Parts: sequence; C-alpha cells; structure tokens
Amino acid sequence: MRNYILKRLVMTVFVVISAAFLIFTIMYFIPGDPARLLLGTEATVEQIEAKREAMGLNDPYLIRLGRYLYDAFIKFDLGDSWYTGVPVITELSNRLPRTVFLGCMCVIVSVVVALPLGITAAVHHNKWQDRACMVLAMACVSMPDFWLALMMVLVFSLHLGLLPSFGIESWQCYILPVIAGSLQGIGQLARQTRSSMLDVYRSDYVTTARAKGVAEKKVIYQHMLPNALIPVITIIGGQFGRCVAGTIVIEQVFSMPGIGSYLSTAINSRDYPILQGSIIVMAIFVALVMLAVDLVYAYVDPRIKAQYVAQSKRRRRVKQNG
Amino acid sequence: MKKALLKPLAFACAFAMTFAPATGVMAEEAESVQRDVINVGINADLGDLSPWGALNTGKTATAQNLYQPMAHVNDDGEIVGVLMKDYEVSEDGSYMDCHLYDYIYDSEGNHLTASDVVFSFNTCSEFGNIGGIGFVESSEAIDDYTVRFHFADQLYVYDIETLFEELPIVTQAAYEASPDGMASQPVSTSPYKVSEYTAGYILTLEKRDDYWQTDESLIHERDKANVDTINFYILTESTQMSLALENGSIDMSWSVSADDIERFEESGDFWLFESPDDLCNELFLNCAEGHSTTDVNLRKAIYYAVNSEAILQGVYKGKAILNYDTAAAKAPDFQEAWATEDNYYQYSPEKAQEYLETWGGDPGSLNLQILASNEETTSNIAQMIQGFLGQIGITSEIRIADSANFNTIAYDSEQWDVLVTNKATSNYCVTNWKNCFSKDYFTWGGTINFAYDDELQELVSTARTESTHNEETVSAVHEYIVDNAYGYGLVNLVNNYVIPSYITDVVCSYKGAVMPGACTYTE
Repeated sequence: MRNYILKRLVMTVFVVISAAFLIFTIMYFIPGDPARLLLGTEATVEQIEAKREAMGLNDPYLIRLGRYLYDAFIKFDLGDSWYTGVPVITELSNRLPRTVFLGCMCVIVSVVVALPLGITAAVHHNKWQDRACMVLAMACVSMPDFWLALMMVLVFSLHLGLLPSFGIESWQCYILPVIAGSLQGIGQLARQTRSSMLDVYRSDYVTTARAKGVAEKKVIYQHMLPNALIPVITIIGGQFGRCVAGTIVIEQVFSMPGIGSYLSTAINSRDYPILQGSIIVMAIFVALVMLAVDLVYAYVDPRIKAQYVAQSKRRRRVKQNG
Repeated sequence: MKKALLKPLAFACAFAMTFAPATGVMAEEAESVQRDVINVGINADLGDLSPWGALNTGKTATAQNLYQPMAHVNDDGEIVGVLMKDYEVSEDGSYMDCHLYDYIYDSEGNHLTASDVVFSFNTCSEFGNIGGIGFVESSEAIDDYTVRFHFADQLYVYDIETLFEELPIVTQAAYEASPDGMASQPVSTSPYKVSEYTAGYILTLEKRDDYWQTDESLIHERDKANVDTINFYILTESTQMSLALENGSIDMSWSVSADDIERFEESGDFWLFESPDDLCNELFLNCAEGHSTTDVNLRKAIYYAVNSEAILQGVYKGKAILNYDTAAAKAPDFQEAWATEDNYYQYSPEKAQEYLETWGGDPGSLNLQILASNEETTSNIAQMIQGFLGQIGITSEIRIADSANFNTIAYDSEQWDVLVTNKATSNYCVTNWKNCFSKDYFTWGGTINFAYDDELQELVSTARTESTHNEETVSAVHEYIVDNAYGYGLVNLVNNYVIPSYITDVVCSYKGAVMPGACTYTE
C-alpha cells in the first residue's frame, strides 16, 4: 500500500506539471493583450510596448514557458498578479481555505441529505416514496444554482430577515451559500445512490441475509450500503475535487472572496500569473483528492485492499526468485 | 514668470451636489451630525490598495478616500489645493512650481516634504499605470516645500489638472517601510485610514483623529470626515446590490443597474439622482481603404438611419442621455448649441435614402461587419443597429468579442466595418477627440476609424493646446467630425445614485464616485 501511495504521488507531480504546461500554452495562444488591458485605452503605443517588455510578454514561447516552470516548481514562486502586484501564493493562501470550507460544507450537506434520499428511493422502489425522492432529486439537478441563490436571498434575507444576504462575517453567512451550492450534488448523489442500491438489492448475499432472518435495517445498512458505496464514493470524490473551482457562481452571488471570484476576475483581465498559479493549486488539490478516494476504496472494499496486497507479494516473490 | 494663484478656499466653489429628491422623504433643515457608520456598496473589487497600481472600477470608487492628491479640481474646472498651497507655471510653459504646506503628516507621523512628492511622481511613472502624467518629463525638489515639474512638451488642456488629481502622494519613508508597497495597508495623509481589508469583500476606513489639516477653512469639501467608519462592501452581482439596499445591509450605492432603479423610486427610505457618466456609447465606421464606408455619403446615410432615441429607450429604458458628439455632455467645453443644431444625424430614413442615392452604390450589395463587445448594452445596441441598417436595405453581421479581445480586434482594420463601442470623456471634449482621432495614439498613424486626415489632426491639436483651446477651435473640431461623419455619439450613460434619506448633501470625487465621509448626514 505504501508503494502504491508513493507511486500515485509521483504520478501527481507529472499530472500537475502537465496541467501547468497546458494552461500556460492555452493562455499563450489566447488573443488579447494583457498590457493593453492593464493600461487602458488611453495608453500610448510606447507605454504599452514598455509594459509588455516589463511583463516579459515579448519573449519567445519557450523562454517564457521555461521561466514559468522554473519559478513554479523549483523556486515555488507562482508570481505576482499583474494587476495588483500581490503575490499569487499570498492571495491563494487567503482565499483557498474559504473556498475549501464552503465546498466541503456543500459536499457534507449533499451526502447527509442525498444518501438517505437514495436509500429510501431504492428500498421503496416503484412506490410513491421512490417517485417523490426522484422528483426532488430531479428538481435539485434542474434548478440553476445562481437563480436559487437569489431566490433564497429574496425570501430568507429580504422578506423574512432571517439570514444575511452576503459576506463571510459570521457562520450565518454560510447557510444560504451552502444550501445553494449543495443542491446539484444532492440530486446527483441521490440518483446514483438509488441506482447502486438497486443493483445490490437483488444480490444473492442480500437474499441469503433476509432468508436467515436478519432485520431489514441491518440488511440495508450492513449488507447493501457498503457494497453500493463504491460508485457513490467516486461521485463524492469528484464533488470534493470540484469544490475548489466549482463555487464561482456561489462566490459571485454571495460576495465571498474565494478562489472562484479570484479566477473569474483574472480570466476577464488576462492576469496570467493568477490563472496559471491557481490552476496548479487546483490540479494538486484534485490529484490529492483522487488519491484519497482510491485509498478510501481500499478501506471500504476489502477485496481491493487484498488485491493490492496480493500484487505486492507477487512482485516480491518474482524479485527474490529472480 | 506667469503666476497662477489658487483662489482662497473661503470663496472656493467645492464640488458638492445637492439634489432635491425625485421621490422619498428628505429631512428638511435638519441639523447635520457626525455619523458612526455608513455602509456603501461598490460593484468591483479593488484588487489592492497600493497608490500607483493598475486602475479599475473598484479603485476609482475608493481611491480618493485612501490617498490625497496635490489638489482637487472642481466641477467648474477650478483648482483647489489640498497638499499644496498654490502653483505657478513659468512664462515659457516649460515647468511648474508647486508650494506645499509645511505641516503635512501621514497617519504614521511621517512629515511630507517636496522630496516625497518627487518620489511619488517618479515611482508612479515607473509603474506606468497612470498615463495622463506622461507630459511631465521630470520633477525635482527645489526646497523642502517646493516641487518643480518639468514638462516634456507643450501643455495641453487638462494636463495640469490631471497631474494634480490623479497622482496620489505618499511619503517615501512610509512606502519603503511597507513590505508590499502598501497593497494591503496604505499609509497616507488622507483623513481616513484603512482598518480592515479583505480582497473581494470589504474595505473599512476609520476616521483619523490626527488629520494634519486642522484649519477647517482649508479643508476641501471632499476631504471632510463626517463619518467615523466607512465600510465599502464589494457586491459584483447587480441583483445582490439592490437586495442589499432593500434589506439594509448597505446604505447607499451608485452602482445600481437601470433595471433595478425603479424599485427605489417610490421608496421613502431613499432618494435618487442621476449623474452623467464619463462613458458614451459610440458608433464609428471604418475609413480604411477597401471598405465601402470610406465614402462620407454612405457614412452619413448609415448615421441618419440609426435612431439613437430608440436605443435610449430600448436598451437603457430612458435611463441615459442622448448625446450630440463623441464626447460626453458633462465636459466643460461641450457646447450647448450642439444639442440643437440641425446636422447631428437626427433619425431620418428619408435623409438616409438621399445620402444613399448620393453615394450611388447598391445597398443590397453590402454586407457590413458590426463589431461590439460582449457587454449586454453594446451587444443590444449592435442588434438594433443591424435592424436599422436592414431598414435601408443594408445587410450586416454582428461579431461579438469579449472585452479582453475587443480592443485587439478593433485595432485591426480588416475585422470590422461598423464599430459599436464605449469611449470615455474623463475631462474635456478635446481629450476624448485625442483618444479617438489623434494619430499619435495609434500604431498605424490613423485614428479609431482608420481615417488619415491631416486637417483633422491639425484641428484636434490646435483645440487641445492650452493656449489655443477656446470655443472657436473646439467648435471647429466638432463641426469637422460631424461634416465628415467620423463618429456618432449615441447615448451618454448615467450613474444611478441611491442615497439614504438622511443624507442631505452628496459630495462626489472628480470621477463621480461618492465620497461618503464628505456627505452631510442628519442622523
């Protein structure tokens, strides 16, 4: 298992470098002059040219790529924002915790609501409970999160005066954004849970358990659910990975200064250091989350762990013999 | 040496707007009070708080609360000193001396002298983010409280005012002591200092108890501190801005969209006013070789076919102002007669047809490319223009470019025939014309519409020059642009200010942003 983890970490490095290379190349070829955007329309040609020179924009592609990769992976310097001059790493370290917190809360709420929903739907397959849960899940997936966010602000903040409409000052500020941000996840997860539970519902071991007189609750939670969780864990893992970049809309609507709003501004202003630095951080985060998901698989499903152990034993035997 | 003295502040006409509310209740004759807290909504992030960083909408909304310039320029063009007592321009116009007060201290107790002004100018020039001060070649400290600015070229209109208003001044000691160039913690001579800043969320300013200017008669209206704490909340979502006003999370905003302003018109808690913005929607036609629109008669036909009144109603719901030049009507050298003259392209399909016949070509053979940015208003205007062109038999296609690419494409003469854009008039009409029609500012030696017209260059240069800027020269440029159909100013945008009823006087910066600390409060 240790070797597996080490191998995955090495692969993570390659993934991150590839992502950095890709984002740099894409930004290089995207039209739009950052110097002109920075200086505005009243800048003279000479001023724009001087700015381009100062920003290194006139250097050839390979020189700029090499400089960028060297700074990012050898010096661990993601550069300074062209607009604000603030180091990207400083701003990311301020914003990332907020985004991760918001994203994690969204995922936790999604899991807490969606799993019971999916289980209920599966257990009461083709009954009114099943239909009700799936209609609810469908509604969650269909509603645009920005619309829902504004509707909730209208109702809970403006008309009822119960919750703040924006900001990060108190824990109450996170209630509406978390609800708005978790709905899509609830819908996805509920449907996947229902589907996975239905797959295992008619398995032989489940039938055996019932035949042995095991209580239905025990059958569901101790026999069916663990076996149905593998695809569900995959989705939860994906949601965790997306939580870093997927909260742009929620952050914009609720004025939460996270990675999403940081990226959104940088895209419009072609602030390359922010874009490139943020992508690297997100790639690392997603890669680590995927690694964690794989490890959770091994914990949840003993067959997978046994597979890893058997593989490493086989390799050791081959080495000794040969 | 020509002496230019500042009028005593006792007689200075500060830029203070007092509006009777269109609706709502305003306290009558109530006594003004010192307010504890005011919450303001702005629609863009500042990014950073450094004095000479890149400008953006968020900084424009807050910068003059953070840093002080040499002087303020009132709405009537009068220069009123802030850090300086007076200034003198030399007889030959090659340099200017500014005399500072000798008791200026920043919030860290650093004494501000002439060398700090020189440092501020030099550092600002190195950053290169404030282009308007490029006319100054160098600066030097003549003595502790006299700064001399040497000009690179002849003085153009508003050059000096730009230097005075747009150059934030800080002490060298404070700047060099800052670990991040004051990006997060400014130190300035302003009556307010930053107590909290969370990028993308909030900027909080607290009133200083040790503000250096203790003579009340010398404090400009914009530098008053009638509030103890100012919170600028950054709300980029326009609907959220309106909701925050309604639920009391913020008290005022000048970034409310035209769609939402109606919600406040009947509210007793607010009063509204509109103020013309620097920005105008404009229409330019490509005069580069090979384009049909090089013909002045075709250009006039197109301009007469466009109904700017319909654009005003359709795109802005009437919440804007019809314009009569490419420059904004708020400019001091904008002439009222332009609004009533006969030849400014008032919508007339008949005249359009006449000019088409004079042109002599077949409108049906044309397929014009309309370029607009992806902003909702300009893309809507492009669609309306497509309809207007269709009415006179001209086919067109719309190309929408995102804001980052728009200028790159607009500066390529092969990419468009009709350009729908916004141009600002930050001060005088002549500055707008310089930015549109002066070939010195474009790589191809042409203008925004790729016209090579030496007479236009001469007229713009004459009107811009400080010594020859007068009604005749300004009018000459306007008439030449109109006669040659080089540009069509469609609509002047307005800022919608939503002000709480307990504010009786609103004071704005020279960029039109409310100075919350300077307003007059009755509760």
